[in-house]
Amino acid sequence: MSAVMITRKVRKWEKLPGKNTFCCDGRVMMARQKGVFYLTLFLIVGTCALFFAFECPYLAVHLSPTIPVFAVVLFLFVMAMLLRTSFSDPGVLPRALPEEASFIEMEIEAANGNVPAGQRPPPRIRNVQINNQIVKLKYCYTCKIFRPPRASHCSICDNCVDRFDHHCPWVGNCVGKRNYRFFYLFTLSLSLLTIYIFTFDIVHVVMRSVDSGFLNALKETPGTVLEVLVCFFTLWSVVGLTGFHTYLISLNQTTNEDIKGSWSGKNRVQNPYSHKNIMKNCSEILCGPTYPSVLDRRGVMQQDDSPSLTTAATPSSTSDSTVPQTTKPTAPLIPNEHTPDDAKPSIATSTEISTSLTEESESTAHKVPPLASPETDVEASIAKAAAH
Amino acid sequence: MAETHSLQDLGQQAAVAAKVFIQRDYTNGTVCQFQTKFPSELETRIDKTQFEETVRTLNNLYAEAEKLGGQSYLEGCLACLTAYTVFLCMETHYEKVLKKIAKYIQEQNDKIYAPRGLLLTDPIERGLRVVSFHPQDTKPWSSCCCCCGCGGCCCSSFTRCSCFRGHLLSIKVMGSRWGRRLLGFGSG
Repeated sequence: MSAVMITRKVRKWEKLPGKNTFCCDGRVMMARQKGVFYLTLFLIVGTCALFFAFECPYLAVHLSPTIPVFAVVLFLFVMAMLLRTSFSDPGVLPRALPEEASFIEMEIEAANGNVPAGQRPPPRIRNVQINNQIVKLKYCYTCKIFRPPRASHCSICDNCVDRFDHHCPWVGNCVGKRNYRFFYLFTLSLSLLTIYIFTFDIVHVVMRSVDSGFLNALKETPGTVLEVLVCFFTLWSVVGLTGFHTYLISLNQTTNEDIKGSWSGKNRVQNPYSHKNIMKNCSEILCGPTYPSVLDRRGVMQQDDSPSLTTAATPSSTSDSTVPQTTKPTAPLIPNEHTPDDAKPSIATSTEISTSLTEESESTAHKVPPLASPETDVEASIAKAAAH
Repeated sequence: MAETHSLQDLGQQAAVAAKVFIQRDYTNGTVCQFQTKFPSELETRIDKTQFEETVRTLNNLYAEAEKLGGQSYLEGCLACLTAYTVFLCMETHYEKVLKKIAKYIQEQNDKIYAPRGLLLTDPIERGLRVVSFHPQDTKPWSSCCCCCGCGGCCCSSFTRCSCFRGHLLSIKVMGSRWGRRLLGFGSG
């Protein structure tokens, strides 16, 4: 045991096992792939900059000075919601520490009884009753826990996320329990902003056309053409997405559950989390309690005992290592591998929908190409929205 | 030491299983609640009513934190209107209750569990998944997490470590790395 003084504090975020990036000493937490997030930022900021440069001066003089003011407010709200969604912890569940993992392991073994050698152990599923509805909790081989109801493992971030909705590459983060409302408000305010800019683009062009003819008007404001194009294409997807999420919120469902068809009415399974009241569902999700992050990212690691999580070496200077508790985790911790026979059925259930929404499929976790397809979450949602 | 006898049926794993984890109770949905069933492993340490009282109080506190009602809606709407910047200078209701819970657990540890050789861990340190009871040995090195090398994972702050407290407080070096080391060598 060397008594070296280490001056640098090690904070807990540095040791978190998921595939995340952190900035500002752990205050900001995002997924590793951020390319599409920068694209989102660029599109929003770029379009708004063009709007402020080309439309606002003209409209403020010829129509009303409140137009730019309202646009600024809306723009700031959109940016605040986007950054809040992207930079916050979506509700990551910390992995089980060795002791808790072996406790769960023992419980599983006790429940399964003796499995003869060569036979498959039964799948690790625990049934719980929620509001008189049986819900299956699956064991997560990566996090070594039974996932709480509605939680799912995000293969991109390699974390179990509570009330997992989807991994959104556009915001560069998972959307889950803690940032869903920010995500929804982001899509809602972005739809409003897009409609707003689109409308005033048209108004602007029409007003100039009256003065100097259509073609001359376009020549005078080249930025407007670009804005109209961007707005036209984002409008449909963003408004569709907002509509889809409004529908989900009113039923208290997640995108994940909707795509898997968990509560589609088959086998009389109904959503046990819904309050059966649209107003109550909406207010719970949008105005309910603000959940704290359970990761304690900024907490300081106790430094001197090295943060090895697998083996707890008793300090060599002690003589008490004969006491049972300290002669430590030789217990059969299952390896970090996934038993294929267990992981496959969960994928098979979602084959009908060919979207690559990245929940659940841990077995493919390491094969997923970076940002499988950025459109998926918007497009899948729109397809869904159209179906309903 | 009546440490492991209740787990003898589990044979060799008894050493690891000395800690008892109380799991979440999902009967009423995803609200944070813990099971009130008394685990047999604790029979030798505390009586059932004591255990139930603690868990029930915790459950009530969590229910209060996650209660849906006028107050939480008001907080949510107010925060939304300010684009959630209000939380930079204001604590959420949930955080207030979490502080209350931390205080309650500290109190219970001091009054009830520490004298009986148990350490109750705040669920927030385990992602609100479990309430855990750690049997403590009277010897500071035996099962205390400060010394087992787990990296402080079992108790996030040394102040919670009741077995250490007596020693450390008297030397007034609590929290300093040197102090702990000093003590480690001293008692080892």
